[in-house]
Amino acid sequence: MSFLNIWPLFFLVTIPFLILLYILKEKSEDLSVSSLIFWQEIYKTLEVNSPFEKLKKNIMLFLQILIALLIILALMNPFIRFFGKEYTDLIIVIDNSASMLGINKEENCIDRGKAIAKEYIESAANSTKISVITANKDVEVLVTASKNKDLVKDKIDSITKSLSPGDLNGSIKLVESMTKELKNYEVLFITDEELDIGDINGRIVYLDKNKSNISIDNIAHKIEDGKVSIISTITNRGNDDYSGDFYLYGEKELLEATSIKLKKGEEITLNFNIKDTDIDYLKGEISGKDAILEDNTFYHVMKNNDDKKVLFVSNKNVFLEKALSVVSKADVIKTNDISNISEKDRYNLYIFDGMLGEYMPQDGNILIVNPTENNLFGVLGEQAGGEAVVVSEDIPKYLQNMTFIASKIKKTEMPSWAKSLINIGDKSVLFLGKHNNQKIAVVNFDFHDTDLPLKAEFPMLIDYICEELIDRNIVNSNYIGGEDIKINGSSVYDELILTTPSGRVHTIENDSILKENLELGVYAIEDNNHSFNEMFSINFPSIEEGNIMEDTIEDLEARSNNKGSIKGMLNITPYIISLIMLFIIVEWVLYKKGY
Amino acid sequence: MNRKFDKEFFKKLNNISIKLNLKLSKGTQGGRKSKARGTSVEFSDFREYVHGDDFRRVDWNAYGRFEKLFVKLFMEEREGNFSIFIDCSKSMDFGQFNKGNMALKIAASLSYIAINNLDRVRIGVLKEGGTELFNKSRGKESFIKIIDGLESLEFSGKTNLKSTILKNRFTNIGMSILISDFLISNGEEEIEEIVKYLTYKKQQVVFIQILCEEERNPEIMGTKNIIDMETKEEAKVSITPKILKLYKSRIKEHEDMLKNIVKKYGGAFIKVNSEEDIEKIILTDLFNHKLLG
Repeated sequence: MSFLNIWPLFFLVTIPFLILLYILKEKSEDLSVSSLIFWQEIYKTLEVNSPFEKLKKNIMLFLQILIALLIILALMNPFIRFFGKEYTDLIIVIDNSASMLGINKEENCIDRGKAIAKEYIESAANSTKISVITANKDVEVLVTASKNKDLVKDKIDSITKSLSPGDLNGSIKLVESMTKELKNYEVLFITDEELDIGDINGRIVYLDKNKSNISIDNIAHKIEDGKVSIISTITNRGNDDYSGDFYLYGEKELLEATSIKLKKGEEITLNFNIKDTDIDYLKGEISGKDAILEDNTFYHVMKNNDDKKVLFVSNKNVFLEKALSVVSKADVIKTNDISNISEKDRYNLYIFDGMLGEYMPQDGNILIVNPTENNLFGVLGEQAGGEAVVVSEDIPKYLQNMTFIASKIKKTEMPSWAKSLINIGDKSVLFLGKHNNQKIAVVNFDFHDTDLPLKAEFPMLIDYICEELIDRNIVNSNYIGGEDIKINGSSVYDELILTTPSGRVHTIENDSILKENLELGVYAIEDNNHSFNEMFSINFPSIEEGNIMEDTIEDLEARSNNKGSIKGMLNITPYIISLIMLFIIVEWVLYKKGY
Repeated sequence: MNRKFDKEFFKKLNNISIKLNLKLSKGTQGGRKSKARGTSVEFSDFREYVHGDDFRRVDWNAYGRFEKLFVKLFMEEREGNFSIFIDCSKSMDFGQFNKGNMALKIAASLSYIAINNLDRVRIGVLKEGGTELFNKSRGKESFIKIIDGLESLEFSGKTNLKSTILKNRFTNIGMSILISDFLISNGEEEIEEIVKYLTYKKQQVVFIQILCEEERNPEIMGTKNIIDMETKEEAKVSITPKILKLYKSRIKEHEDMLKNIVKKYGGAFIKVNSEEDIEKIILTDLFNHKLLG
């Protein structure tokens, strides 16, 4: 017999108190009788019969001590191991992908999985070293070889619902490497998807879900001629046919509703046209309850298409002008006089081509072409050029093989904050870096002195540089659970305010990636001054995670190497409680009889 | 003053018109038929005249018919001697229905019956020092003395039944009635000694044991410090149903022991509950034991 809890042993200190109480209670009251003779005779008889009679005399005390001991025993959660040996190492792998949000009756798979894992941990011997791994898109080791069951259980409790796609197959390699050196181990996989664990000594716990699941896989829109065309894809991913309604909302207002019927595995694309283009986001909803409720709703954010402002200060550089015109979502404002720049005007990107004034903007990013003397880096005159080659892996693949010839270049001192992208010999002709929260790129030549504008890669290079320097939208509009949500805040914003779909408001740092505690729905981001407001949606990865297994759990378990109950123990607490009840009844009867 | 003998008691007593059964052959003349032929007015038999017979008893009518002298025989009426011993130890002063009161009532009732029957009654009060006797006389006026005597009795101290009884002298055949709770340790020998002595003294032995309900069926439970009210001895006893059962069986054994010893010597043993009605005790219990008739 083993125990899950040791702490109830503390209550053993109550036993002496119980005895003490009994002794105190023993203080007898005086009773006058006409004669003692019979009492004395009986007393003598009893003394002759002791110690059994003495035991009978104190039967209530013994019963009470017994009941107290049994209660302590019950609190210790004793259990008897039935089968299976005790392993020195136990690895629990919990599938934490989005599909584990699926429900069977009322409880979702992840909560059930956590409960099963904890129960299994409780049944493990105290000397067992337990590791816990969660797996979705990423595999994370929560605990490594810990004997502290409470810690392990706390870690399991801390597993949060994930919206990320994935399965346990990614964890198999990790488990294999972890168990390589272990001789006496067991791995418990808790998942809702079919899994082949190969030669690993493990058990798979399959978590059943409701059999029907319908999902909205996508909602997209296109604005043409002041009208909005909307398409939505809906798939029946369950094992039952579906018949219900699809509702399309513009924010909270119902725009369209239609009935749909989908057979098992069938997919349907719905088209809608609406006139109202001033809608922040669309929401699609399917009626009815199924295994995964999260994929019955889909959000699509329509806005966030604001162009970024670019100030181009140049003395008629046609090549650059042309190249900039193809940079997407950039509103390029041209000037040939640096003095036209007002400090009040703010731009996302400043391009200085061959002219640099005393004024250097403190916000936005800067591209300096053919630099003149400035306070950012030293310019030491001109020098002869040569063949320029790409030296940085950061440049996209399609530009990696680009070469060009420059007849002359500026002799500059590359600052420490910058990194060279293109070199002529050992001299950098294009470098990029971040200085005082501003991204700064420097092209050390005049485009007119090179054959670069004649190259096919020229617009692509300019687009790449602008891409690096223009802070585009802070976030994309629509994400699927599991995608990295990168906050590309402009250098102007240090902190941004994020409002979650459930209404929680918290600040996030610029250039961070939103990972934890993500919710499905529409998020809003704004800066401290509320000068801008962006939205993005996170939706359930229904394509990867919405499918319901066709095989029944019984089939899967029959095929897996575990046919028995995962609980290799018999919890004897209920029996002890029954025994306690019985003793309480006996005590009551004896009490009634006057003991 | 709370009188032991109230109006109700006397009312009940008046309703009892019976006699104590006691067959006598000796003793002074009284109201009791004896085995001997004597001088009462109650005809018994005839017999032929023999020399020395009283002429006054010759039946002359018979002589006229048979020409033989016959003498009429009459029942001799003699008085009965009743000794009523009351155990006046402290243990008798116990019970919600006090055992002592019941003892006095029984003594008074029996005295009344005996005196009504022209018998001689003496009351022996068994006390720590010995027997205190009062009312050796007879006649109805003596009943008042008896009642007064009984009224003034107090139950206290320890009484050694054997030594006090054995100190008593009995001159005539009679009936000795001992009223007690008979709660005596190692009682068997002592009781037998008493019965033997009384029988030897030609006494018809009647033991009346009075116990109260608290003694017969004690309703106590748990650990008690039991104090003997007579000896002041103490004993700590954890009273359980089992012990109560043992106690009751011990009481029964004790009764049986008394009964057997008394019967062995031709006596009568009557057990009385202190809460019982005196009328019921006299008319039922004593009748059933043929003490009354």
